[in-house]
Amino acid sequence: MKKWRTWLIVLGFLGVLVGLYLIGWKVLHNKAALLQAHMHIPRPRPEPVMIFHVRGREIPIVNTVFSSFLAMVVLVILAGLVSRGLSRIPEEERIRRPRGWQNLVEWAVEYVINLLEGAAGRARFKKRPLGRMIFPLVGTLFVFIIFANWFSLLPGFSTILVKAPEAVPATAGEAHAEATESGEGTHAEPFGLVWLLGREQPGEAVPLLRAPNSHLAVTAGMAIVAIVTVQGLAIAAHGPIGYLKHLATDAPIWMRFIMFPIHVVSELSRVISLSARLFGNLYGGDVLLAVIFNLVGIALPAIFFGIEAFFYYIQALLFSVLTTVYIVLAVGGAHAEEHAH
Amino acid sequence: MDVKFAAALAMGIGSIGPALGIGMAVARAMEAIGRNPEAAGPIQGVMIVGIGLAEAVAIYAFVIALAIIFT
Repeated sequence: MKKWRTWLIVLGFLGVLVGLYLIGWKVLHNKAALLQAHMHIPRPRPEPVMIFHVRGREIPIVNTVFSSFLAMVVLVILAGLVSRGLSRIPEEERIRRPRGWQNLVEWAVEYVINLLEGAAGRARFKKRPLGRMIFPLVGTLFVFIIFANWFSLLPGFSTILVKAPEAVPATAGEAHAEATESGEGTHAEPFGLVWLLGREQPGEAVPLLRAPNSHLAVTAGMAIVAIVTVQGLAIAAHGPIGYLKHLATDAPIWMRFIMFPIHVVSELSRVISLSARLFGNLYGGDVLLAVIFNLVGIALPAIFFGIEAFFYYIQALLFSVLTTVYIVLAVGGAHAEEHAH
Repeated sequence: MDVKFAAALAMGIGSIGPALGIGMAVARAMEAIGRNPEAAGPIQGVMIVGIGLAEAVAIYAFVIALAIIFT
């Protein structure tokens, strides 16, 4: 009897989904033109687009940077609001207990601390537990990444369009000449630089907000901070000479000449792997959502929003846990050596 | 058109390896959890990190595919 009811609920759910899909399909086919006008999602490109200038034309602002600053401002305001009437538990347990938002934030902070301490294990840096020591940096990275990622799932991201500033008249003619010459115009700039600096689309409608981490420069900045911390802590733990020895491993002497460059390259490639992973996932998620929106446009995208929310959480987790693991690997070597000698 | 085909090939071939790797990682993790259910938490954490490392290869393929399409 109970089994039947479960199956009925599942079937009803599927029926509702299929019905919504059919309605969406029908609407899409009947009013394709109307929907194209109203629901057209601009096709995302990997390069962020410049949306306005600060100080005349000196500092161009691209949309990902604008939305990352927006995310930071919202985070700071939320933190200020939450930390206004904090209650301290051990001393005032009878009088005040954490209420409302404080509970949530304490839970989140505890979650991140447990995560980092679990990843760091029993590693220590100068007799202090490593997980708790690096929490301010890696925890901040985690909070910013996950907040910026989930922030970018809100409605309005990459759908609100603004008019990009017009080109400077003097260079407009040149740009136009280039565009007619090469046929495509915006592709004239060297590859890679555009991904980092953003693209100019003078006078066109461009999205005002975009996922901050779908900009290679944003993720590369965070990855560089993480890797510089790793190298700095490694040098602080081993000393400069010990650090070079650590890179050269304990192999026989002729082998060390081969191992040393390999290890240097592998240390440097972590910047690329950390930043490209986050960037690729965020940009891929953007493309996936746009494709699904253009495909069905009703009901189905909701499921993909859920999937993307999970993926974004995993990416934030990975970034912080991998940073922790790199730090533990770099610092933990000294620990092992101390015991060996 | 042929350029887009190259991007599709890069993504398709490039995602075979990570798919196999992630499948093996999850299979072994499930085996381990089945043998020792109490260690499910740590195993899951390590598994997710491993999956992320394997997935990075597919992401490189994706970035290369983007580079092929958009340049």
